[in-house]
Amino acid sequence: MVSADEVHRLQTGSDPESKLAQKVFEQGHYAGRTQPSSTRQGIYAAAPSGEMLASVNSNDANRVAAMLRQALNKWSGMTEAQRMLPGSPVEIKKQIRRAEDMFPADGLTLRVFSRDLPGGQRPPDWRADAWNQSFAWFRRGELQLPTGPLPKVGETVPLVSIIPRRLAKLNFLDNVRGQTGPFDDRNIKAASLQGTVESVKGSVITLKLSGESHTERTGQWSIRGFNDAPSPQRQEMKLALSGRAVFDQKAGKFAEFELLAVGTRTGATQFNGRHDDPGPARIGFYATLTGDQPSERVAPDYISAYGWN
Amino acid sequence: MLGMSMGMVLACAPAAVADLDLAEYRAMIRPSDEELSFESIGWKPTFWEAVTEAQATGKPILLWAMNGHPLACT
Repeated sequence: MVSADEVHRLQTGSDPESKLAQKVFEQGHYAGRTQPSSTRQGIYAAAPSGEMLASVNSNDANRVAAMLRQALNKWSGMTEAQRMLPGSPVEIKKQIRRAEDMFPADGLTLRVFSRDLPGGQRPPDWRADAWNQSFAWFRRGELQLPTGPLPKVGETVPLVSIIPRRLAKLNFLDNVRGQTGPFDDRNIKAASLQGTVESVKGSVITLKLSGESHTERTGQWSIRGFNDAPSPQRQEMKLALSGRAVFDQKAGKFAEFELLAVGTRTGATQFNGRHDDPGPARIGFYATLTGDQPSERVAPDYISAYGWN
Repeated sequence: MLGMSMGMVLACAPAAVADLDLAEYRAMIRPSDEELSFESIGWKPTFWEAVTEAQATGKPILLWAMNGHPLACT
């Protein structure tokens, strides 16, 4: 059985899922570690009981394969009682609350990809083609979906501000090379998104999207992971938005949604790997509707900023 | 706001990138099938889903745990 999950919640939570993960982590490669950080990230093989079989934190295929062989060898020598979790995982699940439980199936859910755009120098390694992704969720009630008379072709309709503002703060981030923290409301210089009606067929409205997104923050922070002290920094993201959406007013949902955000990034943060490439440089984001795969229902990174409960 | 003209909208956007070619940029930014091939493994997106299925089928668990969900932003 293969699982991918966010480590911070697992290593700090107090629910049965987190506790079982912590049992595994504290038998693994980072057990007890506090410096340079307390992270327990890595690849673990474990029995459902929480008995650790083997672990490694590496993206080297040979090291991972060796770890898996070690794990299977240990597994083969374990008794059923050693392998299995006492109690029913299905029953225990009732004690576990996750952000994924808030997936707004009747709202708007987007998958947002990020990547550097051509221009400037790119290092001759994985960073040349690096990309990342994040998710953005909007509850139906937040979208203030139109229910009145259908708009006319050529009319321009502003989309509810929570869409461009949430994207600006929590998704249009320079995460191409690695994680970076979100912006907050004070950092937003501009965030707008409009739709110009291209066609109306029955209750189905096709919109050409346009807008802008501009965020900026200054302060003192590190930009080389754990290898430098905080120093004065500025980070800015200035983007033009463009795209297309198909909204079915009768069904009250978007049938299609594609949004580009293209512009300029400036600055670096502690873990986003831009200390040697702070720009200004071109960056692009592409947002589209999530699909039905379980992997596309992972909760947004900064869902705690949504104010949902 | 409903009466805002398209001309006004475009005037607010950075002029150099006001009229993006959706197909062109989508092709540049969206990961290729090869880049997304890791998703074909069938990862359970939560640890407990894997525990539940491993317990039911009598199999061990492989957990990929990262700061930032590996299937999202990490």
